[in-house]
Amino acid sequence: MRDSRMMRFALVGTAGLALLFGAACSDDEPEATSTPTATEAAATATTEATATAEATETATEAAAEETVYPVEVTDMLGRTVTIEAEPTTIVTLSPTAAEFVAILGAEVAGRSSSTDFPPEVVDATDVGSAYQPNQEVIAQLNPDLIVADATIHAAPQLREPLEASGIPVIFVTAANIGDMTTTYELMGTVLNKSGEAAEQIAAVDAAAAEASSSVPEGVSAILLIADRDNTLYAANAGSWAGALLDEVGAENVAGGEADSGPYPGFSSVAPEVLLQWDPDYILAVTPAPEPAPRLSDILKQIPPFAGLSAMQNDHVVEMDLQLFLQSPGPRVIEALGALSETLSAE
Amino acid sequence: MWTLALLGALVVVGMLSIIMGAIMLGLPDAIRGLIHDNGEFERLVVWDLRLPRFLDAVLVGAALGVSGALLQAVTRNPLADPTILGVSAAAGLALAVGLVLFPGIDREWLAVITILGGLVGAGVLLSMAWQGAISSIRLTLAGIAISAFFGAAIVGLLASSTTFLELSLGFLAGGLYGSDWRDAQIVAPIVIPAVAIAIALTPRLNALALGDELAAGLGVLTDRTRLIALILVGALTGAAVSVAGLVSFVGLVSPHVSRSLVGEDQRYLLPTSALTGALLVATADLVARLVIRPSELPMGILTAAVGAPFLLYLVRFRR
Repeated sequence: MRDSRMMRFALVGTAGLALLFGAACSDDEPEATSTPTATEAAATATTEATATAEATETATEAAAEETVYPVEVTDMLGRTVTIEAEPTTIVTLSPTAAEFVAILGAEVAGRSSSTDFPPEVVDATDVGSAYQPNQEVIAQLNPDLIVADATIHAAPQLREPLEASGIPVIFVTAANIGDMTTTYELMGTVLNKSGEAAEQIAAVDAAAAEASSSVPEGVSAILLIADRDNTLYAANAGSWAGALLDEVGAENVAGGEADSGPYPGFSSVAPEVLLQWDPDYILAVTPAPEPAPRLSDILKQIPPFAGLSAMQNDHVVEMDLQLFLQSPGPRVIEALGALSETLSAE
Repeated sequence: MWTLALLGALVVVGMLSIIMGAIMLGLPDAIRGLIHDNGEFERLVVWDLRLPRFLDAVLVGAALGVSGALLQAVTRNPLADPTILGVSAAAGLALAVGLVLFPGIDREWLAVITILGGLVGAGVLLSMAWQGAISSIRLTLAGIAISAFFGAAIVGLLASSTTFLELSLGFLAGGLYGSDWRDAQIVAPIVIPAVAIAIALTPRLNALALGDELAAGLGVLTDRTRLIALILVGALTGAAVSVAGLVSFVGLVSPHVSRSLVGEDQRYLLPTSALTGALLVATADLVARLVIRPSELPMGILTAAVGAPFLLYLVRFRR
């Protein structure tokens, strides 16, 4: 039962990735013709801009289409959930879930402890950590919708108590941009905000198109995190950061690696492997808050890494923790902007 | 009587556990939630969340307290405890394997696997220590080795399994987050009979304390007594681990606290250890729920934080 759900989830993820790769390939094809790259990119950008305008129009039309309750939806774990009426009291159980609800213009009544964006959500009631949501506080809020996170709450130990409460639970996810689009459509229907959702999807698509057109052809990159012992882990294609690298058309040198080590979507990287890959850009993310040393600075102090071309060209860049690691979701627009700015810098 | 005082303290902690939490209830509200099945908020919080969790804490604490008392009696070693002798680690490894290999498994089966793990741990302990007869010193040394080995296997399993990452903190440090009536229904049929058998065993344990030759002279089958005690320890520890993960220190400290209250006679010591363990776990869980509410601390941290200073006090100032 659960296995088949997991299967479906994995399949959706894989399909999403396949779509991304497909998109990347079709972007490459016109570049192979004799047309100068810059012109081609500009042309693509114009086309995309037109597409965006169209999308916005469609969005405006969709806004007229209100959700008719009760409505049956399929969430990101493949569960079928019936929403009886437009939700008014919403509890979100992860930063990603809170951002999806808030950006669509619905009010968040309860949030997980670590949620700190957008600012108005911080005033919502703290319902405990994302990994141990407090049933008592949730019950007191008496919500008519709980928005959970497919990457955190899918395990039966966390999922079953939520479902047992009788309150409709919707699982959202932002593993990659394809999943984000599906989540936006899902939440648009659930919250009667389909118009807002379509606008957001159009904005994300536009940001993705602009980022991939500004990132130079053939740029290779790696995104690294490190644990306490400074063991390095690179974002592979299964991670949020890896999906973003694919989206902007950068070659992720660790993209094809299998998961190894404790972090899903990340693969441990031996220093000599990093030297062998020698990517154009090294993007570093440091989970520990300041004044803990930044990983981008630590890398510079490891003697053998002085030979890396990214090191010699000063292409070792510290990236934002929230955007690339902790809060996959609506802030993808900022993440894509940061990524294209970094990867197109001289 | 100290036993009555402990029982009273347990009732008080039970009352507080029902009144206090992320949402503070008044006593009238709590009682209404306890008595009336009106489907209201108080009912949900008191009857569905807090009361079963308190009962789970009592069962886990009693199981660990009795396990510790039994192990200290059969090894004649005051440092014996299911954590130190590797029985907890064996049960924990079985639980971790169950969670990782069968992610959607029912809790009943998980409890069975965990209890089997505890029994295997006790069996390995016994077979390693067996050499014609069971030696207390060999039992202790073997236990420490088993604990280190299974502990390493658990950490290795957790480190290599990404699906298990989010659950590993609560599991390794021990905690009762999310435990409910179903947990109580699963482990009560194991814990209550096992504690009863352990109490029935106490006269033989008293004889064992005199030394094997004297005990044999009194007509007690020393090896068979140790075998039964270890089976009980395996089942009780497995049941506790299946509900609360790896809770340390309860098995070690409860018998010592009890000994300072009621003395060495196992007939009193063992039931008192059950009460002390229950009181320690229930109190630790109450504090764990309150300190950083609405989030929770892992309860196992608090059993150590409360248990360790108390043990130090006993070591330094009593007897």
